[in-house]
Amino acid sequence: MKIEKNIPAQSLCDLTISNLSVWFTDVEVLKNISINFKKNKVNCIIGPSGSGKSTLLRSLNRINDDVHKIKTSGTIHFNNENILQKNQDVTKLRKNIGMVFQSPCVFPKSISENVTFGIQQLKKLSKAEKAIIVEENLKKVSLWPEVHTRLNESANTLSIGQQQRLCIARTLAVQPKIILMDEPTSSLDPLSTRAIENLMITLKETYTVILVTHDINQAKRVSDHVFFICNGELIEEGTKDHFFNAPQREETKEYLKDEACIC
Amino acid sequence: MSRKVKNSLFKSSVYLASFLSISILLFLIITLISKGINALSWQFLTSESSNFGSQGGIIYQIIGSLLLTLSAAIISFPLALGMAIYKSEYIKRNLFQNITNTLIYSLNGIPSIIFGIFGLIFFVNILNMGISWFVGGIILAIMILPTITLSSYQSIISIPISYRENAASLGLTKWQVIHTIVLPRAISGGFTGLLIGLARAIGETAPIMFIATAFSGVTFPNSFLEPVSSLPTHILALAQQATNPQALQNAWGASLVLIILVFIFSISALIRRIHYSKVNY
Amino acid sequence: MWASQNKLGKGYVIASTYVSIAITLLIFSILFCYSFQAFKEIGWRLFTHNWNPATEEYGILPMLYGTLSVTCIALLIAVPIGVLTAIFTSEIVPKQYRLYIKSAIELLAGIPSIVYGLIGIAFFSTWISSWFDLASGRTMLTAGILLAIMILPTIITLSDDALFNIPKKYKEASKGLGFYSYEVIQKTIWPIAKKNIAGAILLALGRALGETMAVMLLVGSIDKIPDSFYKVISPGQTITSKLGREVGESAFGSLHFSALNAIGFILLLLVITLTVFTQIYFRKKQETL
Repeated sequence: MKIEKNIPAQSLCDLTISNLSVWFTDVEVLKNISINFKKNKVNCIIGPSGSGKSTLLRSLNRINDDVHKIKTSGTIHFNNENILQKNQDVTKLRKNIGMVFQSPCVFPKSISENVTFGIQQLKKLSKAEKAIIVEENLKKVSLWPEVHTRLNESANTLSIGQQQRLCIARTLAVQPKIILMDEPTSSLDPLSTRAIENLMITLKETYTVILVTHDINQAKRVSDHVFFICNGELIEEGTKDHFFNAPQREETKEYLKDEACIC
Repeated sequence: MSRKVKNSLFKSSVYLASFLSISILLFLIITLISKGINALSWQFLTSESSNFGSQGGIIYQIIGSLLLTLSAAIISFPLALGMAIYKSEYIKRNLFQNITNTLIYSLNGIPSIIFGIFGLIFFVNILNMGISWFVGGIILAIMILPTITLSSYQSIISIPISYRENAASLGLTKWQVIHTIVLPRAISGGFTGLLIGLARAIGETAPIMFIATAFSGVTFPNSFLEPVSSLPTHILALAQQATNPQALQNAWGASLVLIILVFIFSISALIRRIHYSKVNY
Repeated sequence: MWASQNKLGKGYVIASTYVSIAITLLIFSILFCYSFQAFKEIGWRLFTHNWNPATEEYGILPMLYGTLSVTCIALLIAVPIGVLTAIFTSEIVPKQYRLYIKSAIELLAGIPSIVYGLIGIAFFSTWISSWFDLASGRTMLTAGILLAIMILPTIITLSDDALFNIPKKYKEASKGLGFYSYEVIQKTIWPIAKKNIAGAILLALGRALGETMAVMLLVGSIDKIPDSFYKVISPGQTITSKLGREVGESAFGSLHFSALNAIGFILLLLVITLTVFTQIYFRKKQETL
């Protein structure tokens, strides 16, 4: 029996945003944003709360579709296809672009069922295949040693930090190319936060990670490339060193100094 | 009047009213049990009624009532579930939400006798189905539809949005999200509503007395289109010959059986409600 | 496969919704269609005193009067007792017993109306006939009293919710001002809770108007307005008791049947207006109905 390995996403995964604007009812929350995400890197989007960075991230897998009264213009290209077009198969898109949310949300099922929750909806799996997927993905998030004796217990018995890693394992099981992370450590304690951050650094070898955070220090610890968004506009971007050591714009300097946004 | 006097007057009226309410409650319970228990026997529960109900038992009335409620449940549950899901997952416009709400509440407010008249006109006469238990089942199903729908809907909207988003982000289609996340809760909440609805349906007389039941000589129906006898209509018939002590005795017995059936439904609903209010989703 | 499942599922939920909506609309339109003949042929003569199918007289005033007076009696009895009992259960009973009392009252609300009718026949009508020295104890008063008992649980539980859900800090703050418990309730709790209690009463009113079986057995079933209109200790007829007694006896399609439908339609309009008004105005979230 052969299990598909995750192919390192070297060649495939281009994700490019051009001229993206998003309106909620009549408020423009994202204004004409263009971004090229970097392959196999941790792409970090930072900005104060309410700046629109979450909306930007949620546009990438079109999870905002279900939000009422939202309007979008511009394009987002993934594998040379505009994913914002009407006839885009969003389920296929979300299979390729996984997402980890702010607070962990495990389903009221066992730990192993949580891992296979997504993948078993996409294809039929035998018991043995499931076991392999569970082990493989729990190992990737280094949760396996902690939970391998109690895979059939409810996932709610895990600590919050473990739950978040379980959510990541669940996302990995679907074999995405890109992983979106929406402030994944904001509800975690420092120790769990560190575990997730280390995980991001290992994950980027195989996947492209796009991380949204309001924590500048976290961005300093994990990012390779930083995008600063304020008030719905992309203010500045650059590699980590360049961005933090030699910011060009006044707004960026101000933000890095005391996390205040003057735009 | 001083404040103190006013206060004690008020207090005594509260106590008096509560005393009255509790006395009424106790009177009802004690009467129903003491009168009913006299009539109740194995013989009574398992034999056919005879002599216009004043003699014999109520076996076919029990069967008829259960048949009516069972068919109501089978017809109503899937409809209510579908409507609750459509309302919570698909309807986005406020206008349409308000329209469905108003319709559900209207349906819920329709007096039970009106359901009987509607059934008589539409099913018995226009569709020419005759007086049959199946028509009774349909009418009771329509009657309990809002209860199940609302109960199911309440359960669905208590699911945090993050569950849906998490499931959708794993690449599930809308229906797969509904199937895995929404449906279990919808069924659970709908089932509680179903129990509440059935507790009401099994005791209803007015909707079924013109369309589903016959009084004497009814046994187990051989087809969908035959009348049955039911506990409430049986009690009605017996109550109308209240001068006959034998008939009255049997009416009390049938009432006690009916109330026990009602309470089985409503107590299970109550237990489910208390149990699920403790579960954090 | 997923796509077809998606479509199938959506089809199922859409179909159930539209079937339910269609049924609701069908009920209204059927009732209207079948009362149309009466409205057309009898017209304003519907609002007269005499009901006699043999002479084709169909005056519905006695029924309207009966419904009105029976409902009024029921509310006059049930509202004060119910609201005061709700004050007892929400303010005086210790919290741990409240749930049990409420459950008992809610179970009571589930007793079928035909059983109330039986109790009414066996006890209330005999009591009324001996107290007032009447030949028959089946009067509008008897029906009203019984109806009051039937709507009492609704009023108690809903008013209790309204009172109990007021944040404790209000009560404590006004107690801290040296208020008597009467004043706490009058000045602090009542102004906040009265809207929801009014909702409870309207809901109970809707139920009382549509109640059939118990009323039908006890109201006396005579289509007459008593000589002095306040003399409720005499037999009368309500809309529901009329329908319950006569629908089975009238010939389908006759003017008689249509006239009965017309009263039914009037009742329907009355109750629906009330229910919809209550729901929209009070926006009560009801978990169970």
